[in-house]
Amino acid sequence: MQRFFSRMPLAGRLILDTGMLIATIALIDPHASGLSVHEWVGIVLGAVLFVHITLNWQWVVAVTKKMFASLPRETRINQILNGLLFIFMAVAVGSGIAISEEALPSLGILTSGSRVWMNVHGLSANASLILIGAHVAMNWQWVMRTVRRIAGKTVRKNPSLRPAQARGGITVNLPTGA
Amino acid sequence: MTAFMRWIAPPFVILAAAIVVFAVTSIGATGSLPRGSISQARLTSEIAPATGVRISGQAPIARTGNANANATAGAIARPGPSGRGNLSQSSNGIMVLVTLLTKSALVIGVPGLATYLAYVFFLQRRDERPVLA
Repeated sequence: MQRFFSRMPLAGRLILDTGMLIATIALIDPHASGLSVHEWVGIVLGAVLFVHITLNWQWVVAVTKKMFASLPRETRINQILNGLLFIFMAVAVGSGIAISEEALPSLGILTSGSRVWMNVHGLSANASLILIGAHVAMNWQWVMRTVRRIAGKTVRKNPSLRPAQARGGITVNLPTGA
Repeated sequence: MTAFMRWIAPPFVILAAAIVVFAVTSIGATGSLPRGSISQARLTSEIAPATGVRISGQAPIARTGNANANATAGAIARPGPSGRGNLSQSSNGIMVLVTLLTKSALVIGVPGLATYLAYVFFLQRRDERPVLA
């Protein structure tokens, strides 16, 4: 298992994170997606969140160990943002399960559906969305670096491309006679 | 770090942390821990499709049965005390995409852009300053 995850390519992580962002966007409006889709996507997103944090576990451990020590400002802000995001997402997923009207009842589990949990769900979900924006922004340079690295690897693996194209990271395979 | 500590333990730690967070929120919001229950309807197979609500006085509806009948039964049996309205009927088309993209641009994009600008102009530049002896 260790070997599998250690060798999980950067592209895999990027696809996972992009999928989480797309799922989050789909969750924004339950009226648009339909309640059933909203609930199931939310449950799956909660599960994928575990994978996301596990993949970044070394950062979590390293930063938690230095919770009260001095850290670079960027790392400290990231730590606070990520902590808040985890709390709000845990509450959003949990409260979403508590007010589930389709997903859990279809499995035979009755939920409370109380007004309190609905308010909690709305607040935590909205806070999560704002924090997700901040989370993506704080890691945007990693995203761009990873995209460039993946593009670079793709070019190097394709010997039919000209060096100029390879430097630009273009992955389009032009005819050799061009 | 061993394989156990790196890949096996973290999901359980994350789950435990999430449960603690949710339990604290639950106690704070409602004064007690949330409780779920297995519906009696499920046990007797009398479930309206996709609602889990028992249909009184009606024969059990097979999930593979008439789609229209199932949809009607589901609509009748849908509880709806939550005030969320009928969210099961999703609208289709390009308007859904436009709505989602507009809302995501507002609630994710704007905070993200603000954070990124703050990050680039304040955090990153400050970190790049040379350390004076």
